[in-house]
Amino acid sequence: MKRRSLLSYLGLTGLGIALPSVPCRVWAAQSTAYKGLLYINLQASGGWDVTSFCDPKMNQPNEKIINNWATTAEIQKAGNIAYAPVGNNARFFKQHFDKMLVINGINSRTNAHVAGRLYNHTGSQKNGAPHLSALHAYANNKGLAMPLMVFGDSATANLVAPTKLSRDIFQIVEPNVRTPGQATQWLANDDLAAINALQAERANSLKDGKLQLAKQQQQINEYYDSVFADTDGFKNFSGLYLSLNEGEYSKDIYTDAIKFALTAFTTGLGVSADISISGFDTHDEHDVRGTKALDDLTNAACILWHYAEQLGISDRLVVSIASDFGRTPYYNDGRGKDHWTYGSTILMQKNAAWTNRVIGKTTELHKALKINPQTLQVDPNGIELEPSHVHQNLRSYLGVAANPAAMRFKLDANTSIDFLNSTAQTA
Amino acid sequence: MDVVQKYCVACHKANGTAKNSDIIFTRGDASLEAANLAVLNTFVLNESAVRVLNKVKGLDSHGGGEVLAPSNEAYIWLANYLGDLSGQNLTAYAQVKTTLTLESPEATYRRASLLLTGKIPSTQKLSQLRQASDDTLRKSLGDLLEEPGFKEFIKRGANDQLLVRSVLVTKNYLDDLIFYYPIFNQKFQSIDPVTQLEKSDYVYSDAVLNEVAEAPLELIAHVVQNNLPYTEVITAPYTMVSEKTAEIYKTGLTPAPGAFVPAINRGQHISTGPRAQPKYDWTASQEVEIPHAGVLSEPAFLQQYPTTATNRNRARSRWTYQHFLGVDIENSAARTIDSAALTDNDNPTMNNPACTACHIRLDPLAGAFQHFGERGTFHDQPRGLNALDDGYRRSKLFKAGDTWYRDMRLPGFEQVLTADPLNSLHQAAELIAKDPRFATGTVKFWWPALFGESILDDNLSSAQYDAKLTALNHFADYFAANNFALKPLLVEMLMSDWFRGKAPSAEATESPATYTGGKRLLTPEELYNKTLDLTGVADANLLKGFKLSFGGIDSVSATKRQRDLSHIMLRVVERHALSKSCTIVATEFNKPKEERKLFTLVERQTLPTSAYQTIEVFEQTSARDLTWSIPVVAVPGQKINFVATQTKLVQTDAVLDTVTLNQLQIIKPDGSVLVSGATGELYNQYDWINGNPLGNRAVPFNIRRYNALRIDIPVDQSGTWQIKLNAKAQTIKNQLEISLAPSILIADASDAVSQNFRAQVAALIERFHGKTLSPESEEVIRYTNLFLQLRQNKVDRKTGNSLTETNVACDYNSNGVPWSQWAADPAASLSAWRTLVAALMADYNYIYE
Repeated sequence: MKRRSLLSYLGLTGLGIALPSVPCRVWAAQSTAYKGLLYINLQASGGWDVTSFCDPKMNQPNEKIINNWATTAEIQKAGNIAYAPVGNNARFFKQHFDKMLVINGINSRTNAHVAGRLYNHTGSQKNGAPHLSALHAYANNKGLAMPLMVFGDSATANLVAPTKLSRDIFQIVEPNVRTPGQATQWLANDDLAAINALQAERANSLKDGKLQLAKQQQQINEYYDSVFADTDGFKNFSGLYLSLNEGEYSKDIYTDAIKFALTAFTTGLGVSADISISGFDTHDEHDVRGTKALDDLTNAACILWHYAEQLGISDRLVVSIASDFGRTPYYNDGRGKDHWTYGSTILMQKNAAWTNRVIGKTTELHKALKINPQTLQVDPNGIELEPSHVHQNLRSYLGVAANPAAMRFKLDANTSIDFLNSTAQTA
Repeated sequence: MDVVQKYCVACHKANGTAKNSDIIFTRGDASLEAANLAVLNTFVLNESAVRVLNKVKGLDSHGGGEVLAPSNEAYIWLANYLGDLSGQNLTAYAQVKTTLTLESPEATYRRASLLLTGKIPSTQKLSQLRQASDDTLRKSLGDLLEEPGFKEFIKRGANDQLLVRSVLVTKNYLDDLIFYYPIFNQKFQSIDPVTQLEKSDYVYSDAVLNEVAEAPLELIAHVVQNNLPYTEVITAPYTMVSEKTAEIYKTGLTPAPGAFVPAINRGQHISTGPRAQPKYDWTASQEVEIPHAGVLSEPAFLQQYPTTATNRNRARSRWTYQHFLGVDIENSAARTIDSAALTDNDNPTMNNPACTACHIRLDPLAGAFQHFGERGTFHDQPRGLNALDDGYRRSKLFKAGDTWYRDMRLPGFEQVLTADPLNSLHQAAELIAKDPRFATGTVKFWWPALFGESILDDNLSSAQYDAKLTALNHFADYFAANNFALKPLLVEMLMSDWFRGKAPSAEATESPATYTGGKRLLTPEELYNKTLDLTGVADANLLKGFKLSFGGIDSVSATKRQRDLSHIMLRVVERHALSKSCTIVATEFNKPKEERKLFTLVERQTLPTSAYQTIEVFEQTSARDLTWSIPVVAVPGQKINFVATQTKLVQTDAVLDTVTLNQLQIIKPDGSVLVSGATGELYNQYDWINGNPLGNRAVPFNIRRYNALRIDIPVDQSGTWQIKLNAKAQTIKNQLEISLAPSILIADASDAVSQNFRAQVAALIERFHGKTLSPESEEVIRYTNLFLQLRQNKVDRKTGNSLTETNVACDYNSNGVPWSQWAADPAASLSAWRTLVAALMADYNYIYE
């Protein structure tokens, strides 16, 4: 049996936060002062076909058909970003090319889902590494009520307890309100205050208690953090949430999750989210199922920015879109596409100098070309881009690179490559 | 030096992760011992022995975390060695005590009962186990596994791993039922006699899919509950059917709705013609008997891992390894990172060493699933001869009679091929059952159901991992020695320190970090069960809308339970408590005491310290002496509120309803008299003797309907006060209604009524939190004070003498009982109990068991 990675269980767990000297339930305190970057990772779950998206490929003579759409259509461009004319891609790219940095030719170093998700969403190949969304939440969690929100699954390495987003989560925003938007409550306010005072008393007495078993101590810490989380943001949450409109975009389970997360960002309740959009593992009927999945993804990404504009937080948002890996540049016998180690990642931010660019390149048969880390141009002596390079940049950009948790989960990137302080594109 | 080579040099070497640290050893054999020792000695003599000892146990930001627990022999050896070397007194390090205390037998029984059966045992049962021996406790735990609720534990725990209930959401198997099962097809799709259009009965199909989803879980429950060897969950030559599937599978059985029985599926048809799906021509089809292999051949299991032309049952193989052998194939060998290997399309799983490392094990077992098609239907291809995909059948590789791919490894398990092609899955299952990893796999499968965590995971420290590995092997050996019966294994786990560990012992100087035992956060289902069993009130939201938000799964998008409390999960708990507490209290107090679950010691007018209402009925018209007593605790501002009134018209002639209050006397606890005299004269004399006499004339002091004598007796002594009144009724059957209560209630008063009240509070704490406390304990008094505070809140709100208030909901179904009766709260006690119950349910001790 392999030796496990050695982590300080007592050091990393416990969700340590800086405690106020006289803790009390923060029902009426001012909202958090955090004004930094907010991060959302959209997971295209299952391995996405980037040759039908942001790294479009036409069919090649004497080679297997890469894309059926390429028999009748041509690659399109929005700004500097090339895209495949599939489904609703055009709307997404035309509306948001100026926010995008597309990184193509990323080698996930695997065709296995678990390994691919691990590497692409953490930048590390070590089992147990946390998603960047968890690192960001951990680094900026000053007693937040929902530092990390997750739709689907995520990996947190016990750094933060994630808030699982579900269809009915909105009803729990105000537990004492019988029906959101109506006046009827379950308890009178003075009675509720008495319960909260008792909870605070219990949390304090547990925390000041005797030596505990490790698991009990962790649970006590979690209860304490939950009781004393900064909940001021919930006061305005419902009104703000209900005021948002979907505009021209479709409403679905993903957009509801995004709406909740962004409202939480705005009201100071959270800073990070991980949203998993399913349907990309298209081993059969790829054109139909893959297009549907891409449409779900682009709709989610478009509505994300639409909500962010309404909420006034679009300038603070950093968005990444990534997947387990890519899909083969050919179809199988079931009209599907199988796993392919090469894929892409898209980073997005509004008004950033590093956007409207494409870095990295693949051959016409979708194999990665090596890139010079300094010039970002194709260079046979360069390096293959990997998720670790993406996360190297993201960690630095989000300001979490030097965080102790990030130091414990070091990235595997041996070469430093800067995507975000450059305006160069790969020709 | 063994310690260095075993625990340090992996990182502390020239090219290790600790290459920049101040201690660099050399990996190798015993010949390097002297050199490595010199390195350690130099550091210790120049720096600090304590620093080494702290780092090794995970302190001082040691990058390697905890390498050795202080209780580990190697750590103790190191402490002694460094103490000798440095001349420092490090005996404290060498004598670190990390022993454990276990919870009491009744605490273990209570927790186990909730997890395994959904029930909280009665106080009588728990008290019987208070001093129970290990043997008695073990037997009692075993008896729990015979309770009806145990089945749901098995099914829920199994689905947490297998996720077979996903078929209810995805409905992936519906098409196969339509195309391959004639009885289903006929019942599901019929022609509307009016419109002549085809209509589908989704109520029927949902019911069938429910039976399909539950079948593998029922199979596991059947094996476990009947004490069969657990291996039968994968070797069983049968499936489980209920009312509808018994008919669809042509079993001839007629189980009742909801009941599942073993049966063989003979209801599927395979095509005998050129089309794959028999639905298009049932005459060109024939029945087939499914070669069952327990869970492995269940449609709900197979559709959870659908196969494709390229996947070729590898997902089914991978998850069979995971679920039944505890082997994660994806992590069983170093993953290749070679791009050429990853893009190799020349049958790499057979030919490329970078791929065969895993596929040499994965693919034979994938072949064992050869007869089950994309969503688990048997021989779902034309002529019913195989389940091979269309593209392969048209390729040059395919030969008539093939049931498996010629460019893949032959069906089997590990190095053994399956001899009987038609029963390859069952034969593979038999081989899996005999594999020594089956026992450890079973322990890994069931550990999370009890402990809320995986037994081994990547975030364990080295010391924890070693301890858990030892435990895993112990339980696996125990399981095998008990003929692979699951029940004894579960009991053994429950008896272990891992479950029963409560806290470090009193003499412990550090927490035994290897133990992660004890209480854990309840799942939504367990919280639902706890509230239902304790109170009789069900909160369906915990099983539906709020399930995911409280860490539950839906088997589709949320597939792993969240075991760590987040703030939003606490909000779900609060919502549960706030929304159900009124229903709980109203339900209780509207039943006779002997039928209640919780409030067996009090009535709705019971308060801490004596207070009561009584009605004195006059059977004669001559004057009577009446005496009332009340014990009171004297605190600043304390008074006794005494009211004598009539609110009911007894005589038809109002004049005849009159009662005259003659002499009044108030006697202090020390026997001295506070006041004595004619009531009317005292009324005129003292401003704390008030009321509204008839005709506004105090002498004589007459009262009739709605007239009253109201006295606020100033209290300056603790003890029993007496109020004596001589009164005369005009006619017989006139009545006087008396209420008597202290104005300031005290939580810790010593009178019998107060003690009984606190006994009720203690009983609630025992039921909700599992803590047995004396009524005089600090926590009971704290909750009693909370009751008083809540009661005063209600009084101050001036919202009337009812449990309900404007804009404060109470979802109690009174079944036609008038509101004025069921919600009556003259003492403001129900309102207080309602909130106190909510406080108990929103507490840490309610949600962790």
